[in-house]
Amino acid sequence: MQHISEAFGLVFNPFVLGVILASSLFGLFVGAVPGLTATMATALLVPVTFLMPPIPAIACMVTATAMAIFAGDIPGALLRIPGTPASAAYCDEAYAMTRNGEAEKVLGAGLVFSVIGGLFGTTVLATTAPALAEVALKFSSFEYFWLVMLGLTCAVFISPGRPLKGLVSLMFGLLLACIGFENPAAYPRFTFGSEELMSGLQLTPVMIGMFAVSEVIQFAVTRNVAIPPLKQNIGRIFRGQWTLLRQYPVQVLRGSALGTAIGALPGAGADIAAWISYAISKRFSKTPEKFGRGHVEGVIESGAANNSAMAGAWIPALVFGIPGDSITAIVIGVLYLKGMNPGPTIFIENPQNIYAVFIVFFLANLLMLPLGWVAIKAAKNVLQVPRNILMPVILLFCVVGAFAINNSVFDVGVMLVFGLIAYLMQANEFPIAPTILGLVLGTMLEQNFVTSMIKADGQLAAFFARPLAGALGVVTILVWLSPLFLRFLKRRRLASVPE
Amino acid sequence: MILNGAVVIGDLVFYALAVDTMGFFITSLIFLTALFVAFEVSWRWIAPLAAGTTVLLHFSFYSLLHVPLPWGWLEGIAW
Repeated sequence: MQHISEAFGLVFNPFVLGVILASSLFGLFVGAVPGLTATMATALLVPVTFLMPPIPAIACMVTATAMAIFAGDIPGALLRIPGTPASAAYCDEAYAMTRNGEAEKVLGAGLVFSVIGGLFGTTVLATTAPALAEVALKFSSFEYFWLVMLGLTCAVFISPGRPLKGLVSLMFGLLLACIGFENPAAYPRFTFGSEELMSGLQLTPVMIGMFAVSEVIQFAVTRNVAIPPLKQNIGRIFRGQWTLLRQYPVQVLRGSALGTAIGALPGAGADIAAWISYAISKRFSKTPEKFGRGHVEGVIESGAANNSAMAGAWIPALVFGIPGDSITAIVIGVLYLKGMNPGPTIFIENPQNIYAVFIVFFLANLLMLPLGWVAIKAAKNVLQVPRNILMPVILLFCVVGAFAINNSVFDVGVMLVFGLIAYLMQANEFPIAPTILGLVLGTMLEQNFVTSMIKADGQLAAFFARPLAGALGVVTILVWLSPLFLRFLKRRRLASVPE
Repeated sequence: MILNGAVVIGDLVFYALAVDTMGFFITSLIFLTALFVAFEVSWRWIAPLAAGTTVLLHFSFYSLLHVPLPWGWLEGIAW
């Protein structure tokens, strides 16, 4: 109880509240402008939060991403251009509603159910994370090895598109994680005699490159996509939302729960949660034929899902140090910088910091209601922001941000190289999240593997000797084998069809 | 349109190579001007936008966040 009141004291001071308000506006802006993503917002915030104490730094990222994921709905509904990838799943549906003259209804639904989804995800985070941490305290290197393995496996299998491309992306990330001499043998690998590469790749320049620079390159290459001016005015968006909640309670709950679960799986974040939720909503709907023609049901379910996924992704990040999505991958880097090393012990040693994070989550989601209303009202102007001026400014910000981490021009080069790589990967439909996960988790995987092998005296069977490790190992291997099972089942079903 | 992508990359390479010698102000002004021209920003706006952004970023990173941005050729007027 004393920790909770301490946590309130950490959050409710003028500086932190000011940071929350400023990052809310930043997040809403980034989310609403097409071509700027929530992940990009987080990457750009890293250099800004560099000199802040831990709580405002984290508050900054939590609020900005929550707002950005909601705000992505606005251009999706009004212009059929999703503001962030997380809104892409139901963008056509929302735009169809706008064309039917229901812009207020769909924007209001996006806002209200984003808030509900976010609050749901936060509640799950605040209740399960401390409980999971108790279990995680019993974990040894064997369990951690399998957990990381399972996380990386999920990243490949849940990535949109073909798992093979996800696997290539993951292997690339793991290869990058090998760079440097910070491995168990302390032998410099892939440094090519470069002193800067001795300590491995710096995460921040890589992230800024992959999530921000790549988007600027993307914009430069496809610049002819003009944003049409908005005609209509937006009226009262909250009217009728209560009726919608009463009409679709199951959908709201299902979207929120599924979103939280998908968010908690490593490698899958808000965008994938929205796609899966939209598909499920259509599948179980009483009126699937209405989907795609401007039906609010799918928007409600997946709108709740993407915001709850954002909170869900923090569960494995805080408890195990395994990021649930690209955003938390960046956040984990910041946590280490701030001395808030994620892992079960943080719940015992610094519980007030953890409670403060939960409070910030609740606050950010509640603040979304009034600020989101303002953002929708201001949409007409925000969407017209000249992107040909904005993009160069962002690029210079990226350069200075990458430089600021170590005051070295080398990092600017790293940022450029990874911006180009990420652009080429995206252009060829390779998912980026597995690379980032491989890079973030590669060291952890290797350390735990080597520690386990030393403990077990080289006996591989020891990885299955402890009950928890054994269970995690079996689950991981079952996921690896699942494509074989699926193919076998498909063939049998085809064979059983009478000729 | 691929050309614009090349401008972005070339501009970044230029920045990384030049910033230590020429300093933050001069490099950033050239960097932004090149991009604004490539993205067809109206001529009247290029100079004020480039100057404004450079000064704002210098103020926030150098003065507020204490990042030692290089002065290069302008070492003499450093503050």
